[in-house]
This record gives sequence, C-alpha cells and structure tokens, in this order.
Amino acid sequence: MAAVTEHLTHEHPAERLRTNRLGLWLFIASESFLFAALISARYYLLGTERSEHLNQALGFAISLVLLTSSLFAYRAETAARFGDQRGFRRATATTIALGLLFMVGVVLEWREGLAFFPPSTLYGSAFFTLVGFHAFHVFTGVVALALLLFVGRDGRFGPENHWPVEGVVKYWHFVDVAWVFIFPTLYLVK
Amino acid sequence: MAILKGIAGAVAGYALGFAVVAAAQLAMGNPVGGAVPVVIGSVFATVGWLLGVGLWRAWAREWFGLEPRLDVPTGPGRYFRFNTDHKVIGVQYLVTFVIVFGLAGLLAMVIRWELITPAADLGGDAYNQVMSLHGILMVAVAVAAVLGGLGNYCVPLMIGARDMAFPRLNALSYWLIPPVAVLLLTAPFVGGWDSGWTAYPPLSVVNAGGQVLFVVAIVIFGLSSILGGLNAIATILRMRAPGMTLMRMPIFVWSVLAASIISLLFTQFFAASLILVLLDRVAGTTFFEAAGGGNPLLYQHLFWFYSHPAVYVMILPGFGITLEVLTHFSRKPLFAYKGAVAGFLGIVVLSGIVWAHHMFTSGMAHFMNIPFMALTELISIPTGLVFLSALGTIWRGRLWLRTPMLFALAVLFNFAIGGVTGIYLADVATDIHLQDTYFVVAHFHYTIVGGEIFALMAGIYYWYPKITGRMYREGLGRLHAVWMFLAFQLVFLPLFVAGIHGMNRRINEYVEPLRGYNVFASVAAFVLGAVFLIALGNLVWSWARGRVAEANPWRATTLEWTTSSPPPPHNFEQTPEVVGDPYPYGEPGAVHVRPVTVPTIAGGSE
Amino acid sequence: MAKPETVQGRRSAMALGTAVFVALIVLDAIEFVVAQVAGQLLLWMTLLAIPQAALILWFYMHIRQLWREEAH
Repeated sequence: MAAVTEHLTHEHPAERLRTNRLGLWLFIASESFLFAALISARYYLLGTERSEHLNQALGFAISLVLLTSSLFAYRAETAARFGDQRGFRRATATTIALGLLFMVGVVLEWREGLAFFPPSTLYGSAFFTLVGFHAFHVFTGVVALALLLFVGRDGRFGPENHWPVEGVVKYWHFVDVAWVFIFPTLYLVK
Repeated sequence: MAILKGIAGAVAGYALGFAVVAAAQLAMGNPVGGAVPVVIGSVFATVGWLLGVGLWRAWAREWFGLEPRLDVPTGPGRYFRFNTDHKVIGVQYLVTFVIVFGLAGLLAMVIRWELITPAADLGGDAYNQVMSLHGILMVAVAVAAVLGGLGNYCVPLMIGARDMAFPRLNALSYWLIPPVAVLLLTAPFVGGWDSGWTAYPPLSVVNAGGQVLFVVAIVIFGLSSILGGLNAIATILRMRAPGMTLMRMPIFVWSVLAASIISLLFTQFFAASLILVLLDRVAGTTFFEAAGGGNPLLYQHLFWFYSHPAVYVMILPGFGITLEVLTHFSRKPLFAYKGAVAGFLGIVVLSGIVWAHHMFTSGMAHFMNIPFMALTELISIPTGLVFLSALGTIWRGRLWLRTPMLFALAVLFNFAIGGVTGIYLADVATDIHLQDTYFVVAHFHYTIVGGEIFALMAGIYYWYPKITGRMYREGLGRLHAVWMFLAFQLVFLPLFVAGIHGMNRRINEYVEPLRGYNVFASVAAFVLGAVFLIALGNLVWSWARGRVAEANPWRATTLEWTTSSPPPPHNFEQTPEVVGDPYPYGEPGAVHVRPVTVPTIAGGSE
Repeated sequence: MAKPETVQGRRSAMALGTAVFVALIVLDAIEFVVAQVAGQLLLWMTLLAIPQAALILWFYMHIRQLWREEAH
C-alpha cells in the first residue's frame, strides 16, 4: 500500500513505517489542539457550570462502549501484526459495531438534550458542539475501519503490511483519548 | 485535463452536497435554502475538486484496495496537475501566491487611492470589503508563499532528500488552495464580508452572507497549512541525508521547522474560532451572542491564540532566508548558529503565551494586562539572538552586494524599525492610545512586508537560478531592491506619525489635518507598486530568455548548489554525504558535503 | 520473526490489552463515582482522566515507538 511513497522517497520499508508513524502522531498533536480549543471555550464561557438535565448514566454507558471499542481496535491491530486474518476481521467488525453503538447513544442523548438545553442556550452550545465534533471523528473512524475490513478481506494485512491497520487504529484510540477528556468536561465536572 | 476533471468534480460535489441538505430540509419540513446547503455544498465541492484533480487517481484508489496510478509527467504540463515532485509543488505555490500578491497589491492601491482625500470617495461598504480582502489575501501570501513555495522547493534539496516525507500529501496541500481562492473571490457576489481579516463577532455573526464563504475558505486554507506544516516537520526530522545532523542543517531549514511547528498546532484555533462563528450563524448556537449568555471576547482569545503565533509562521522563515543569504554573501560562517536556532525555538515557545496583547482595549480582565505585556516583551530576547547572529555574520565580512544581499540587508533595517515600534504596542500604557490606529498598520507592515516579503524577494532572487536554470538581470534586480526599499520607507514612516495623531485604521474617512501624511503615503505607495512591474518583467523574461545559469552561480556551500540547475527529478544523482558544518567559509579544508569523486551511472542512487 | 514466538507474543500482547482495558474501566468507574460524591471536581476529574489517557497512549498507541524501535 505504501509502495508508492516508498518509491517516491526511496526509503526502506522499515524506515517508511517510522516516517508514517511520525506523520500520524503530528496529525494527532494537531487535532488535540482542536479539542483543546473547544474544551477551553466551554470552561471560558461556563466555568464548571453544567445542566441539571444531563443523563449522566447514559454518558457513562457510552464512555464504557468507547473504551471497549478501543480494546477491540487494539486486538484487531495485534491480530493483523501477527497475521491472524480471522482475528483481525472479527475484532475490526466488533470495533465498528461498538463505534456505531456509541453513535446511537449520542443520538439518544441529543434527543433528550434538545428538549432541555437546546443549542440556543449557552450550555447547549458547548455540549452540542463538543459532542458533535467528537461524534464526527467517531464517524470518520468508523468509515476508515469499514474500508480496512473491505480492503483486508483478501488477507493482505499481515506482519509485513500492517501500517494501514495500525494507522487507523491509532486514530481510533486518539478519538477515545479525546473522549476521556470530553466526558468529564461535559458530564461530570461541577 | 486534470483541472477540467477537478472542475467537474467540484460541480458534482456542490450539487450533491446542496441536494443532500435540501432533501434533509424538505424532510424536516423546513424551507429549502439559507447558508447550510451552501456550506455543505462548498465542502463537498472541495472534496470533488480534489478527487477529480488527481487525489482519486494517485491516492484514494488505494483506500479501496485498488492500485494507485501515479505518472511522472514532464514538460510545462506538469505544473497543471496533481504532481508529487516537491520542486513542481514549490513552483506551483510560488507562482500562485505571486499572482495573489499582485491582486492584493492592487487592492492596496485602491485603499491608498481612497485615502488621498479625507472624504469617502469609494463608499464605506465597498471600502470595508476592499480592506478585508486585501487583508486576508496578504495574510495568505505571508503564511504560504515562503513556507509553501521556497520551503517546499528548497528544504528537501538543502537536507539531501529525494522528496518530502509525504509527497502526495504535499500535492494535496497545494490543490486545496484553488477552492480557497474561488470561495474568497466569489464572496463579493453574495454580499461580501466587511469584518476585516480578523472577522470579530458580533459583526461577523450578523453581516452579509459572504462571511460564510470566508469562514469555509479559511478553514480549508487552515487545513492546507496544517498538512503542509506536518509534512515539513516529518521531512526535516526523517529525510535528512547521511551525516546531516540537526546542527549541520542550513539555518533556513531550522526556520522552516520552527514555523511549521506553529502552523501544525496553532492553526486549529483559527479553524475552531471560525467554526464557532459559523455555528452561531447557521446552527443557532450562542457562543458570541451576549444576549444568549455568550461572550464575543472568547473569539478574540481563540483567534489570537492562533493569529499571534501566525506572525511567526510568517517571519521565522523570513529570518531564515535572511541569515542564509547574509552568511553566503558575507563569505563567513553564520555567527552564533546555535544562538539563532535557540532564538527560533524560543520564539516558538513564547509565541503561544502572548496573544492577549492584542486585547488590551477589548475589555478583558485587567489583571491579564501586565503578564501579557511582560511576556510579549520577553520575545525581544530570542529575536535579539537572531539579530545578534545576523549582525555578527556581516561584521567584517566581505559583503557581496548582489540583489539577494541587498534585500537581506533591507530586512535587518526594516525589522529593526518594526521591532522597536512593537514595544510601544506591547506596553499597555502606550497601546491604549495607539490601538487601532495607523501606528499599528505601519508596525505590522514593517515587520511582515519589511521583514518577510523583503526576505521572500531575497529568496526568490537567491534561488532563482536554481529553480529556473537561468539568471535574472542583475541590474534590474538591484534597481528593484533599492527602489522597493526607498519607496517602502516613504509609504510607512509617515503612517506612524499619522497613527500617533489619531488616524484610525480600517476607516475610509479622516480629519483634514491628517491629509498631508496620507497624500504623501499614497503617492509613495503608487511608486512602490510600480516597482513590481519591473520585477515581474525581469523575472518572467529571464525565465524564458535569460542567460543559462551554472549549478552554483553564488559559489555557495549548501547542498542545493551541489546539484544541477534546475535539479533532476530526484534531486541528486548520488545520495550526498554530509561531513561538516553548512557554512565552512574561510576554514581551510573544511567542507559541508563530501565531494563526489567517482561519477556513478545515473539511477544508481540506491 | 520465529514462528513459535509468534503465538506466545500474540498471547501476551492480547493479555496486556485486556489488562489495560480492565484498568481503564476501573478508572472510568471511579471517576463516575467520585463525580457523584466529591467536590472540587475539576481537579479530581483531571487527575482521573490523565492516567486513562496515559494508559491508552502508552499501551494502545505505542507512543514509545516514536523514539524507540519496535521490540519484536
């Protein structure tokens, strides 16, 4: 997959892997500034004030779903790295399912939230923007995982070719890390 | 051909995005229209444009398990397609932003024409739009021309790499620029935007629909800038030739690294602040709406948290070019190389904690004034290191006063004025008087035009023989340098005085006693504008007909001069081996690169 | 890569993933419970979120690969 870039830059595949990793980490660093901007906007406008109508239990439930999805993303990557095709496919599919479940949770939460704190309130502005941005990242992650599953159906990912899996999975974990900070920011602090 | 496909993709993308939103609006029983379908349509159009112009062929096929198709075109056509060669992309950036620079320069002429008389000749609304468009186009030039143009072209050559770390991402960064230009230039047809490039709410939340296109355009431009920064950092950290340690890198490479760190990280804040403006406009949120509990000052904090560091994205590579040219044309090793590197990195660190000096009169909490004043003035220490390096380099050097050197020396003079006048703006007491006057306008034109744009000119003339393989006309080049330097002083020095006397920026009328300064500055501005016709004529004519340049016309020591002019597709016939410091002038026996002794067969660069 | 090691290596990698997951769940649950009973929540939540993020960055995202070659 990365053969084109290796050809263009004349790198050894192992060196290419390290370059790819650095590039992805730089992207993640950049993205974390985006979430930092939105989280600081929430604290700047509202301090630690939050709506009384939040469904904290639902928020906790979808947090657990997302953390579980990270475990399966990890298993998918490990399986691919050791050439276990069946394990890779199963774990990737599970990760996708959990990602979709998370998004269903977000939709349920939004339906409730729209009634109590619509976007025209200050808390609603912060809540829907932050959750919306994060859910969009989850969505892109689900799309990327689905493409992995589709492309990898012929068993092309293995010990020698696991960067695409590794890259998508790292992105997925990053989305989880972002949620680790967004969840308390929106649901718990007071 | 690729461009036609891109346009077709853009049209299809726009139609699709618009249709999806319109269908959703119908389904929810809302009236069809408003800003949302335009926003989504523009985003889809950008994706369609990218896919059509080459992203699909060269890259996205891979995501679906297909073989990507990457051809290496030659001839002039290679500049008009999705090309992964960093030298082609560098030229694409340079030519694009020279055109944008010319356009924004014409708008500056309109501004100076309006300001010849104290009365409103042009009309307030038209003036506001001209001023806003001039601002954002010039900001785009300042952010992308040096980094995207010269950075792209020269950095891989200077570190002995075959290409950037992510060649296709590099092409993607460039091809994100045309949608930005289209969006910005169509905005006037839907009411334009009159908020200045800073787009402060509450104005930017309630003004004409052109503001929406502005927001989308700048978010896309920000993405391009982030990806470009990412690519430059990865290239510099990972693609250096054997022996090229960090402390052997030419100083320009260090400046690109420092500026790229800023654009990688901080640009997200500009994007975030504008997206919040967009949400306030189209989604009914209330971030900046005081009536709904929001606070417009939040925007200023988010905005300046990017936009102050952004001035270092502009000036750091300018410093890099200046030091590079000064050392080669003084025929001395760069003085205090480590000090200059420390200066760059110190500026990167400090740049993130000074933003509120733009907000002393905004109504933010007073306790923030003194810390931000002190932190801002701390920046003069790393900047002083850079100046120390520059002055120590030319001290007792054998100055070779060719065109690039004249520009580089001008940078020192201009930036000294820009820097010193900055102290009055960092000091709360004086800034309260000077805020939003022409003193500020003159100050940032002295730093960014006098610093970065003069450095860009130095860089263009310095690397012109490398890029084009031909030599420009030296006499015309020197004329450009001297003329531009003198005219520039005549435009902006009087504006400091006008500002002290209370001439407001961004306003097209002023009181009669200020007329003298303005007439003087306007006439000088037209003289300044005229010099670019000569420069353009020289550069274009020489590219076609100029004397053929040898590989190393400046007898300079760094790596880009060891390969042919222009370099072959993969830059070096043989991977260079770096054995010493980049500027071994006057050190007997010292070399930067091990000389190639055995000629190798072409292509044997494994 | 030697084949017999592969099975071993995979097993221990999977076990590590599960252990990290358990730690994450426990921390998240503690965070949730603390939020119901304690005050000074901004401080507590930050203190409890950072180890979760660190666990993911270190074990799931292998951040050390940035400065160290892969072990296997």
